[in-house]
Amino acid sequence: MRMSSIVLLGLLALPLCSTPVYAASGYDNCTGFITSVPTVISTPGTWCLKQDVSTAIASGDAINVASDNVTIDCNDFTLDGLAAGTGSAALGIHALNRSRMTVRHCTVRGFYRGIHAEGTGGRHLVEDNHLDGNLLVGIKVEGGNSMIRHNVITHDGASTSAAVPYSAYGILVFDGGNDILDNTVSGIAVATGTNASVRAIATQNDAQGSITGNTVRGLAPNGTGNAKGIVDYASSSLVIRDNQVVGDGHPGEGIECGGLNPPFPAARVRANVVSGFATATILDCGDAGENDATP
Amino acid sequence: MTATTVITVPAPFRISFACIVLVLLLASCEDRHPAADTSKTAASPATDEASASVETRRAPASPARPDLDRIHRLDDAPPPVADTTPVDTRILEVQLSDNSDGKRLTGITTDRFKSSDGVFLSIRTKGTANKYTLSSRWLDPTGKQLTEYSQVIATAGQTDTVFSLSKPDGWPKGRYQVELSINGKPLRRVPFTVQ
Repeated sequence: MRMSSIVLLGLLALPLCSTPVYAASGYDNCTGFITSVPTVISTPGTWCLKQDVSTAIASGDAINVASDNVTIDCNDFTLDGLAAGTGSAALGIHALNRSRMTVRHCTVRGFYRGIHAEGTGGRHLVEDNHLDGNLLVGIKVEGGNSMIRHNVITHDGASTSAAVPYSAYGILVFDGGNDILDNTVSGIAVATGTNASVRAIATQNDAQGSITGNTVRGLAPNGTGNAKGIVDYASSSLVIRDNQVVGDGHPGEGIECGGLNPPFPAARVRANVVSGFATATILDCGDAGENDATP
Repeated sequence: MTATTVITVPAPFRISFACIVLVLLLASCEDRHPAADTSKTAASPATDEASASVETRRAPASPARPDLDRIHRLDDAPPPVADTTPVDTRILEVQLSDNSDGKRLTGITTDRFKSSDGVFLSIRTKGTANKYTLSSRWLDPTGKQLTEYSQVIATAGQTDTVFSLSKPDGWPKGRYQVELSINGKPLRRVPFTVQ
C-alpha cells in the first residue's frame, strides 16, 4: 500500500518535472525558419517563425512570398512593423500573382496592409491570425477560391499617408468563390481629419462565396466618412449568414449588397443580427429570413 | 427469341423493368447537358450571371452607385508617393556583415556570404536634411530584382542605418548587387557574393 502511494505520487509529480515540449511541436513541419525581415521566400514549403521579428521599413514587403505553395507559420510569434509609424506604406506578408499561399498563427502589426495576396492565382488560406494596428487593411485577398477564417482584426485603419479620403478595411476580398468564416473585426478607427470611411468586411465579385459567422464591432469613421459592417458588390449567389454586426450609431449600413450594371442578383442574407447603424441596418440584399435588424 | 423472352416476364417484373429503363433514359438525358448540373439547375439565371460577373470584373462602376467605384479606386490606389525632394544627404560608407542587432553590425565584416546567411548592410549617410527616404533594390546575379524597400530617416547629420535581406530557402550562388538611393536618386551599388 505504501509502495503504491509512492508510485502514485511519483506519477502525479511527473508533469512538474518534465520539460515542456509544446513549443517544439509547432516546428515539426517547418522547412526552415525566418529569423530576420525583410525576407524573400522563393521556394515552396512551410517557413516558420520561432521568435518575434520586426522591421522599420516604410515601403516594400517584410515577408515577400515569391513562389506558389508557400506556407508562413508564425507559431503565434509577431511580425512587427510599428517602428515605421503611421505613414508607412510597407506590407507585412505579401504575395503577387501566386497560388496556394497559407498564412497561419501570425500576429501582424503596424503595416499598411497586414496580409496581402495580390493579383491572379488565388486558392489561398489565411487562418488563425491576429492583425493588430495595421494602417489601411488587415487582410486583402485577390484571385478567388480562398478561405479567410478564424482571424482577429483589431485597431485597424490609422494610416496618415493613404490617399484621402480613403476607406480602411478589416478584410477586403475580390474575385469568386471565397469563404470568409468566423472572423472577428473589432475596432477600425481612422485618423482624425481624414474624412475616411471604415468597412469591416468587404467583398467584390465574390460569386458563390460566403460570409458566415463573423463578428463585427467598433467601427469609427471620421468626419464625413461612414461605416459599413459587411459590404458586398457584384457577387452573385453570395450568402451572408449568421453574422453579428454592431455599429456605434455612425452613418452607414450594417450589411449592404449591390450589383453592377447589368444588375446581378443581390447577395442573400440570413440569420444575421445587426444593430447600431444610422442609415440602414440591411440594404439592397436578398432576404432569406431570420435576420434580426435593429436600428 | 427476344420477343418471346419479354412476353414470358411476369407483370410485376415488367413494371420494374420499365421503371429502370425510364430512370436510365432520364439519366442519359442529364448526361447530354453537363453544363446543367444539379447546382446550376436550381437557379440557372443566377449561374449565367455568375459567369458574367466574373467576366466583367473591374468594370466601370455605375454612376448611380459611386460606392461601387470607391471600393476599388481607393484601396487599389498606389501606396503613398515616395518623397523625391532633392536633398544634400550622401552615402559616406557601406559595410556588409552576416549579422546585426538591428542598429549596428554584430557579425563578421565581409562581402562574401554563405547560402544560408542573412546579408546586412550598415549605411552611413550625412547631410543637412532632417527627413529623407533611404531605399534599396536587391538584384540577383542575372540583374533581376529580388525585392525593394525603403526606410524613412528622420535625423540630420551623420547617421548609420542597417538594411538587410534574408533568404531562409538559401541564396543561389553568384554575385548580387544592392542599389541604394536617397529620395529616389540612385547613389551607390554595393556588390556581394554568395559562395
